[in-house]
Parts: sequence; structure tokens; C-alpha cells
Amino acid sequence: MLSTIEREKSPGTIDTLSSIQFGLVVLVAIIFVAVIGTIIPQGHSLDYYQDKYWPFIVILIKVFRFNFAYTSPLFIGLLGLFGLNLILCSVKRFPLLLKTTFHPNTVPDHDSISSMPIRFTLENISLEKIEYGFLHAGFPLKKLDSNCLFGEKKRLGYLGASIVHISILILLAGGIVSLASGKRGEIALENGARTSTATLQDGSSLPLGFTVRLDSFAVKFYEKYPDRPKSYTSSVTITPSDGSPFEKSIRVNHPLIFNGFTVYQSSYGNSGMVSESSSVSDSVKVEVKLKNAAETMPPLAVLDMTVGSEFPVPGLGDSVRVILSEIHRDLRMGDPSDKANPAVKLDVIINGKLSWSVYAFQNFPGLNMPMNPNSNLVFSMLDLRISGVGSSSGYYTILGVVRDRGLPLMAIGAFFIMVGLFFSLYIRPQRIWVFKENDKYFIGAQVKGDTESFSNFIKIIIKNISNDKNREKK
Amino acid sequence: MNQLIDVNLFYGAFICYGVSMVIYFLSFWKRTGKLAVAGNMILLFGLIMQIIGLVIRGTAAQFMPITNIYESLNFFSAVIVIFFLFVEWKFANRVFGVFILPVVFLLMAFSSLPSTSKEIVPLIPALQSQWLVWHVVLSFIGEAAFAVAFGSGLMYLFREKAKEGSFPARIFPDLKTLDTLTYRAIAIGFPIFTLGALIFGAVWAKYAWGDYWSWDPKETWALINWIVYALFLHVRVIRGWRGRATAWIAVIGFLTTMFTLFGVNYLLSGLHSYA
Ligand code: HEM
Repeated sequence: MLSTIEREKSPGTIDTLSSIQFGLVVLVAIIFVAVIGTIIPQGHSLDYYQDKYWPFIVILIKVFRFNFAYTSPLFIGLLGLFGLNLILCSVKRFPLLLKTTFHPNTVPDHDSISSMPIRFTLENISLEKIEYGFLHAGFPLKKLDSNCLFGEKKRLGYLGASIVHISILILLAGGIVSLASGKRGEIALENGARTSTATLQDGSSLPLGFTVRLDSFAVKFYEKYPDRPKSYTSSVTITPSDGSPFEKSIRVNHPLIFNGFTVYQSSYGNSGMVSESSSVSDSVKVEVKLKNAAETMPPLAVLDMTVGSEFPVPGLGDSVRVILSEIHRDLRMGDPSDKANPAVKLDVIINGKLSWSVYAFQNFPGLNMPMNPNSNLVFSMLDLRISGVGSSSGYYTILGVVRDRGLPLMAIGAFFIMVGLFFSLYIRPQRIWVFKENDKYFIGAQVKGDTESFSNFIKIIIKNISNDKNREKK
Repeated sequence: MNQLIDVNLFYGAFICYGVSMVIYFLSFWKRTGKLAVAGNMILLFGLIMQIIGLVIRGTAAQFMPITNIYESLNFFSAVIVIFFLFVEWKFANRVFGVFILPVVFLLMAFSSLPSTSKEIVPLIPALQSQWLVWHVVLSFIGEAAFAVAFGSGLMYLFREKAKEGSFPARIFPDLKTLDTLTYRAIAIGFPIFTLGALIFGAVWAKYAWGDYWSWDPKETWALINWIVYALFLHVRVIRGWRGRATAWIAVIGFLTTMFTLFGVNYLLSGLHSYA
């Protein structure tokens, strides 16, 4: 007895931790740290922040590890408190929830009806008339005894919020499993090469349980936008350790999901297989195709060219000629970390005058980069594809490999959170009680959500019942 | 050729929305509903132009027109206008326009800026995904519902300040109606946003980048946005907090939505860009 009184005075720790108010405070704190993580660039060492921020802020970053905000003890701790709050709140409410949902107090007394949000009274009428009136309006009531009626609809709506909360806990659990078990690495493969391991970020290797062989890798560009990639495709052959091999083409948005791993198209590059010692071939094969032509259409011309050799552009007579002016084994544009990038420079001569030049890249078929973009008349029609500059095997694909054991939990959580949201926000439980005392009927009703329209609904039923009664009298 | 038609239709819609907004303001100022009827007609006209524009553009691009900020804003505005017209019809009240149309106008103004690229460009591989389509479409539908809640939340705050019997008090819907509308809008927007922004976003990220979640600023802000609306739903459960507190959260929630949409790209990436 004493302890209950004490508890009313100052709520115990459990009460506080399970309260919705505490949950809201924790959520606000989570928002706060999350925002900080989006303002402060993430993932750098402390030195990075030293000359960018005031010393005070650097101290805060150091103390709270805001440079790794989302894995910082503060953030994980807040998520933990949030999970704890949700568990306690759910557990605490559970018995009451079961009772409310499945074993409501169907036989009310005067007091419980008078505390209901919707109340009406009716006089001089039989219980059967009332029962019929509600049935007629589509809300059947059950007769519990000679004095009582009870009816309910959509009671599963009471469970919606709990389904949401449990789903959130499942998602949190999934997140923990992902974080704990998750591995992410890379596979870099050249044409024809194979591997059965991925390289993790720390340099160690992760056995996959299957072998990946790169059969070919292709980058396609849009015909009209030669600098816009259209697709990256790694055609691979997968050989499971205990099964027969199969082929798969891995493209962006179309990963291979196999053996607990997701293998996705991540990046690509040139391996620099063309070593300095290998001699530059002085002849280049140039395929001249029409832009927009189907892949299967044969080229207009296939030319073996050396520096200085020239050819007339097919279809334009002799006045427009193309001269191969440079062969680059490794032409670097932009990012200096790019590996070898074979290319040739072609000069366009119109009526004997050098009009402009274009680069064609061996590894980027279709990307013909005019030096003067204003006058690319000829090259807007032609597609020059080159091959045979140095070694052509320098091309490699980078496949990302992720193993994530949390995925099933995340999928379950995501599914049930939607189910729970639907039930909690759209299935609104309705209950009606009728109770007779001294020839007077007390009608009470409860609804989750829109009390007013449910009240009006009942009001109309009661009006109809009374009208029927009056009509009978007449 | 196509492109000119749809871009001009979008400009036309922008002008209609602007004119309509001004008329709604005038009608509010002059305290007459008659003007608002004209505003309503012009708005509808703008909406039709915008929808035709979206169809033309989608057909030309062979893809749902939501793949860049220009297309997205047009799609988003159209959904808000549709929701607005529904609310206006349902509540037979002209005041909503004063609070919701400025949002539409600002979105369209932004999309019409010369600096917003209006060209149809083919999609890079990462964007070629049906998950992305559903992700964006549902996110914007959810956010359009949040825009309605923003309008009714603001109206609640104004109405609450107004003296009984004064002009705003007479023409605004009553507080209970506004509170219910705010709740309804969020009850519609929240599940759609959950599914579109968070779940489908995560699925798309999984397929395209290998990880369903990577705490990049946009994702993080979408989550923050979601938590704000979760706060809204719970604050209502606490006794005595319904009304002003929830109206404020509905307003803050939409500001968060707008920050997620624009701020992350234009402010946070700016912060990150020197790194
Ligand atoms: C971001 C996380 C959360 C989400 C998305 C969420 C979702 C929901 C939803 C959708 C409802 C139903 C609201 C309505 O009927 O209008 C609800 C109700 C409720 N939530 Fe949460 N919730 C979250 C966190 C929490 C936390 C941390 C607590 C802490 C105790 C909590 C306690 C409650 C309570 C007590 C109710 C009222 C239940 C009822 O009306 O039957 N929720 N929640």
C-alpha cells in the first residue's frame, strides 16, 4: 500500500523509462545528433577539423565523436534508450492491450457508460427495438442478458500501434545484425580473370563460396550524349563450390544475389596492363560506323591506320578527309588516378584545311570527343571506334560485394510496419454498449479517432428508433 | 520540339498558379468568395496544362517524369494542387488557398528559374530503376499531404490567435475542423512517405549501391522528417497537447520536408563541397 502511494508521488525509473514523454525526448535527441552528423563532414580524422572549426567545436567533435556521428557511442546509446523505451512501453501496455482488444468489458455499469465519450439515453422502448434499430443500420449488437447489448467493429485496429512499435524493434534488431555481421568488399576483375574471394576494406579477403569469372565488361554511352553512360555491364560466370556454373550479367540496379551475398556493379577502370616496356603498336584499327545505327549493322569502313594516314569520310566525297595525327597509349583526362587510357587523335580536313580534331578512346566506344564542340557536324553523324592501341586487356570491372545478415529482419520489419500503420491509422475500432437501468436505456460508445462522426451515426440510429416508436403509437 | 511544348506548358502552369494565388489573396483581403471562384478556375486550368506537360514529357523521355528537380517539382506541385482542390471542395472554404498556394507558387518559381535545367537527358544507369520511380512518386505524394497539413496547421495557429467574432474567426473553419484535417492529412501522408521515402528508398539503394542505408545527408534528413511526423502522432496521444502543439509540429514537419528536398542539396552539399 505504502509503495503504491510512493509511486504516485514520484514515478519510478521504469515508469519514467517506459513513458511516452521520455520516448519523445529521446527521439528529439536522436534528431539532434542526426542533424549534427549531416552538418559536420563525416569520417575524417580529428586533424581535418582542426583548422576548419573553432577549438571549442573541435573539442565537442572529439568528445562526442561527431566525426563518426552515426556510430558514435552517443548515437548508439540514444538508439538503445529508444529501443528500451519502446520495449518497456510495449510490455507495460501489453496486458491492457490484450484485454481491450479481445476481452473488453462487455457488461458495463452506470459509471463506465457515463465516462464514455459518446452517450445517449432512451426511454419507453423495448431492448429488441433497440437491437433491431442498430442491426438495421448495419451495426449488430449482441444481447448479453436481458438488460445489456454490446457490439463492436474493427477491433484489430487496437493492435495497429503495437504492430508498428514491434516492427520498429525488429528494424532496430536488423540494423544491429547488419552492423555486426555486415561485410563489404570489392572484386576487381579483368576480362577472363576469376576469383573466389572479395577484398574487404581492411585489405583482408573474404571467401565467397563461389567463383566469379569476368567474361566481358562493357560500358555503353548514349549515342546523342557521348559523355552520358547508358549502362555498365559485367558478364560473369558463377561457379558455386557445389553446383553447376551459370551465367549472369551484373548491371547497375541489377545485382547478383547469391549465397548470402549481393554482388553489384560498382565501378570500373583500366589496370595499366599496357606497361611502359610494351611497344606502342604503330597501327590502329578504326571502325567507322553511322551513329544511331543498329549494333548489328556492318561498319561503313574498317581501316588500318598509322600516324599520318588519312581517309575520306565515307559518303562525303573527297573534300572531307580524316587524318590520324596522334596515337596515345595512355591519354589522361581529368582524374590522374585513372589508369592507362588508349586513345587516338583524328584531324578533320575540309577542303584541304585543318578544321578540327577529335579524340576517340579505345575503352569508351562511342565517346568521340571533339576538340571544338561547335563544329562537330561530321562526328555527330559518325561513330569512330578504335582498337589495337597497345594491349586491349587493360579494362577491368569493380564489383561491390555485400554480405548483410540483417536483411531478412529489415524486410520483415518494413512489411509489418506498413501493416501496423494501416491498422493503426485506418482501422478505427468502434464499440457500442446498451445498458438498462430503471426502464431507462443508457447507450455509450467509444471509437478510436473521429468521435464526432461516430456520435452522429449513433444519433441518427436513435432518432430512427424513436421515430418508429412514435409512429407505432399513432 | 516536344521539349519546348512541355516546358511552355509548365511555364503556363506557373503563371496560372501565380495569378490564382494573387486572386485568392485578394478575395481574402476583400472578404468575398466570388473572386475565389475565378482563382479556382485559373488554378484548374494551370493544373490541366501541367498534367498535359507531364504526360508529354513522360512520353518523350519514355520514363516517369520525376528524374530531375525540374520534373519532380512539376509533379510535386501538381499533386499538391490536386490535394488542395479536394480539400477546398470538401470543406467548402476558400481560405485554404491563402495558405497552401504560396507553397505551390514557390516550388514552381524555383523550377522555373533559369538555373534549373529543363532539358530531357537520358538516364544514367543508377536512375534506371522502377524502385526509384516508386520511391520518388510515393515520397512526393506523401509530402504533398504534408503540405496540406502545413496549410491547415498554419490556419490553426492563425485562427487560434484571432479574437472571437473578428473577421478571420468568422471565415476560417473552426479549430476542431482544422485540427482534424491536419491529423487526417498526416495520417494519409505518413504511411505513404514511410513506404515511398524510407522503404522503397532503401530497396533502391540496396539494388543500386549494395547497401540499404548509408547515412548520407539526404537519407538522414528523410529519417529526421519521418521522426518529426512520428512525434506529431504521439504528441496527440498526450493529454492536453492536441491543438496548438500539434499544429506547430505539422508546420515544422513541412519545413523539415522542404529542407530535405532543397536544403540538403543546396546548403549541406555546399558545406561538404570544399572537403
Ligand atoms: C519513430 C518511432 C515510432 C513510430 C513510427 C510510432 C508509431 C505509432 C503510431 C502510428 C501510433 C498510432 C497513432 C494514432 O493512432 O494516431 C502510435 C501510437 C502510440 N505510440 Fe508509437 N511510434 C513510435 C515510437 C514510440 C515510442 C518511443 C513510444 C514510447 C513509449 C511510443 C508509444 C506509443 C503510444 C503509447 C501510442 C498510443 C497507442 C494507442 O493509441 O493505442 N511510440 N505509435
